Amino acid sequence: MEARRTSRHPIDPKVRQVGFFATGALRDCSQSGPLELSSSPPVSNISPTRNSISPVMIPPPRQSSDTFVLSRPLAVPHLVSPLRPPVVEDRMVVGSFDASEYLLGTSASSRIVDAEFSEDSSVLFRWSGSGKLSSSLPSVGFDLTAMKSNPPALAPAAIKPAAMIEKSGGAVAKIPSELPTSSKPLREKTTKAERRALQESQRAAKAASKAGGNKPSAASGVATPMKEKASKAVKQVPSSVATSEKKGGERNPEKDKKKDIPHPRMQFDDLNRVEKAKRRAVVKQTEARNRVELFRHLPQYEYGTHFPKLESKFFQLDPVHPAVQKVGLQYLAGDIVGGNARCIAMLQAFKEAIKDYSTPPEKTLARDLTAKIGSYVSFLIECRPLSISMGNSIRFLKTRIAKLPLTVSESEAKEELYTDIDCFINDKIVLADKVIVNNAATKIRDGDVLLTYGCSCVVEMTMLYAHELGKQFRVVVIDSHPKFEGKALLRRLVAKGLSCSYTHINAVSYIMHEVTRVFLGAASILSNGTVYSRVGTACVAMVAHAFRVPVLICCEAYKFHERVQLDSICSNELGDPDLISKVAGRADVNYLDNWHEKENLELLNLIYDATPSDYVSIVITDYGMVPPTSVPVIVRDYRQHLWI
Amino acid sequence: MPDIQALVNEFIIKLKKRKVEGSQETAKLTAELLRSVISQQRVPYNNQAGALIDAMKAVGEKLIAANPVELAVGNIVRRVLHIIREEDLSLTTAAVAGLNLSAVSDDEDDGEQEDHPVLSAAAVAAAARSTLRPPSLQTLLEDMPDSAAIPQSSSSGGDSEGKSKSADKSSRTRRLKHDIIEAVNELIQDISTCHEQISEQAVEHIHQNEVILTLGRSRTVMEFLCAAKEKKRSFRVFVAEGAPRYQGHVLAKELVARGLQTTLITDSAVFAMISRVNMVIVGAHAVMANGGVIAPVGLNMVALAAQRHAVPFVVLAGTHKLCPLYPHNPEVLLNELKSPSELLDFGEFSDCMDFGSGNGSPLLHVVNPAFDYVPPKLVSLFITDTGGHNPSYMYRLIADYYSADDLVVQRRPVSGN
Repeated sequence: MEARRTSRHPIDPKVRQVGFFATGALRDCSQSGPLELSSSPPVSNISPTRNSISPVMIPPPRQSSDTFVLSRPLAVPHLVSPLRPPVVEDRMVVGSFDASEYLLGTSASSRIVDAEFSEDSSVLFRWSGSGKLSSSLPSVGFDLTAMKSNPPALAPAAIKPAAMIEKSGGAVAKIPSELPTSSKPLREKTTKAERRALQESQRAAKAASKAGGNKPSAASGVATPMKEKASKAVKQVPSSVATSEKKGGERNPEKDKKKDIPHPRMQFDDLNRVEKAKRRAVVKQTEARNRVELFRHLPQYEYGTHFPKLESKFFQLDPVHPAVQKVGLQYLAGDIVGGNARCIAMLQAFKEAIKDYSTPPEKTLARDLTAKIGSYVSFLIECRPLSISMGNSIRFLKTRIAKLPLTVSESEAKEELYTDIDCFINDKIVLADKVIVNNAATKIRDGDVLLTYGCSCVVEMTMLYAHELGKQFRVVVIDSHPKFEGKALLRRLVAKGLSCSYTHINAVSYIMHEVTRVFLGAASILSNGTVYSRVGTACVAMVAHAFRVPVLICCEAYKFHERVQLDSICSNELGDPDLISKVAGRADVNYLDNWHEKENLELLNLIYDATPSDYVSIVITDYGMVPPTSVPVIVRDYRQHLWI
Repeated sequence: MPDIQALVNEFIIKLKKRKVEGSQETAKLTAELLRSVISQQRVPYNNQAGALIDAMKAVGEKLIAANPVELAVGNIVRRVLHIIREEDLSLTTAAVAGLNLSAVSDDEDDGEQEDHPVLSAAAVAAAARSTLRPPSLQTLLEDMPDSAAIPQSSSSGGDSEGKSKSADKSSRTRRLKHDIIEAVNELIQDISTCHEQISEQAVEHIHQNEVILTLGRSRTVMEFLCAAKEKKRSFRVFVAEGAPRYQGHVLAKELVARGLQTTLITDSAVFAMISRVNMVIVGAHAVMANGGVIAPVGLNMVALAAQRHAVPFVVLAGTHKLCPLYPHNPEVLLNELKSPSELLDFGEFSDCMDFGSGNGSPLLHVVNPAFDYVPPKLVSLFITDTGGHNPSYMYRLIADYYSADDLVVQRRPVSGN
């Protein structure tokens, strides 16, 4: 953890260039949060800055770094009318409950809600940097002790500001000014030169640790983002306590380097590899017939046959933990859909699995557990290809496991992993959603007609929140065969009293005349700005673009991915083609009942598509509202400072 | 006559209830109905063409009003009107030519007409040219009566003949009607064979190993693709379903039955797939004079996607789909909203609708339009029975089939008899 924070120094100037997302601020806050809150009643865990809606996305330049005092009045102003704050506060609480409801989907448990309010203090400390002591940074060590001395009772509340600050540069500016005693200002004052020197020394240490490392260029000043990541991983080598961990430390850099460039995905038209994969597979799956030629590189199996086989093996498969198995089957059956819900369900299952895990003799926890998780993941992949959000969170978890110091006992390590997972769910999904909802609601004005496609939980929360704020607007829900996810969304919106229109995707250019905003969710945003989302999103965004209607994409930053993609074909997921031949509720559409017998007929059920970035007006993330061109910047910094 | 009236009414009811659907079917039925109207219509001695035109207009007005969105009805009414005018004109010119030949010898001419015949024949011919033929440089240069005088002059032509050639009046009456019915038969023939003529051009457009995308089901498209297949071209077809009617399923089935390699995709996957498509071939509901297309719903989206990826967007349309009108706000005015039950069951949302509270307006609207408007700039090519045309050329092509007088069928007051 500490290593992560120090490593930010080399690129601090770059962060400042980006301006509107306040990484530095986040750090400040997470450390100083408890102090700040101690001066205010802990009950009001929503600070007034939370309501300051407008200045969120474009804070005045350099606000976060220099002009604290100046920026403060800027941040709080207009919207904090005497009447508003209490109202909004109420709503927010409501919103938070909603959030977890949606996210959990069918597998709802109260876990997340709990996590939000009653997280034990270690969560906070974990996130705010208690992980490992970096011996190379005395100031950090001091910082850490300061943190630890805080009463744990304040911790739950402190999580909130952390998220808040992600959203608002204004809040950031405020906190340090209240914290003259914190170690933070000291750190702030370190000059560029100092930081540079620090960086150089770390690099040197890293290079040494690599024992004639393979990449000398990594030590040079011109560090590409990927190399920097590698350097970070190595940095923990000197910082970790025992020399015995050296081994683990050496293992990491290579691994991380490999991870830097996203793996070329499994190409299922490569027969050799498919054979190999089949031998490993838990369940023999029958390949679907009549496959679409263009999509040979993606896996597609007979859906009906797969499910009972897996079910029958439920008790025989000892390598897979029952909780994971349950989640896998839920994916397969389509009970859990949506990037967030799937991700949370998976993480919860992993938590269960970790709880029941015990390190076998002669093995180390870090290695064995990683392997275990790996096998779970491959099981889940067999059930349904991973979403990018899941991939990212698995990566997070694995890094966490790899970073566990060897000295900690197993129970401690497990405890840490729990809190890590909870923290991830809480910070990266639940709170991120809240921030997004707050941001997005500022984009809704009275009299607007909002259009949305499919069923994105963030968009839904945004609309409900705006409705609760008393904004007058209308919603157009666009839906498409075969999933008809919009119906569920429509039902919930109508039940809440929103005025809605409903139509199918073909009519989108008919309805677009009356629309003033298009809100879309996303499964991922790739680093070339391409929005990877439910199939049809691209069509909607394209038509909106043609009709000059702004397109707002709501997506949590943990779903961003450094991969690039130009079309929807190279990487995608294939759904069950049988779903296409039938239409729910339309018995008259039965022309293709026995389509399998037809030699020349293929049915294609794509799950995702890629929306070019030029159709996207704005991306609303937990870091604020950014243009799609800023996505790679967030991807880079996000990975660097918050994950590894 | 009563049976004709009954036929007309029956057809009107069918149109109103949307029992007749599909522009080809409608066009054919309309033409057949008009043919029987013509054959039953009693024509007066003088001004037969005028009487027929008036009768046509009276019927046509009702038919168009029955289903204003089905532009094929109006097209056929105008086409028949045009045929009447043309046949009348050709008879007139023939008669005038005969008159000219006999003018020297014939002494039956009245005094007032004496100095006119040649001039009036020329006037009639010129007037007819300017009515029926689209404007050309020649007609512009000929300083001849303007279009306001056309109906008069043509009818006066008829009058003069009526007076001059009383001998073969009855035969001429029969001949006019006969010719008109003949021409309408030809029109019906054209309508039913337009597929073949369009699909003959298929090989020129579909190349080996191409990937074609289409949406929904159009018989013209089906024939077109099959014609290319029969000419030994092997290619692949992506068919988008065309919600909410899912006629794409039918098309896919038909294409597979003809041995074409077919892939059925969802409408939402159109954008995803279009980057691998070489050509989009679709049918149309109607083609407007500006080159815009009234098409089944969803095609505007496809056209935009095609434009984005520079994929040619080809529209197949028989000449009966060419409409001489210029569209204004066609997405709304030339559209039709279908039953919401195609999208949502009526009962499905009854539980969350609260009719007791609020201001009475329902919270939920279900929109199910039938057509899309594809602006001309998104269309790469029209393929009609007469060949391929640019969208910008459509007005000119359309002028060949309609006369300018008939563009507004409704507004003209029923006059004369």
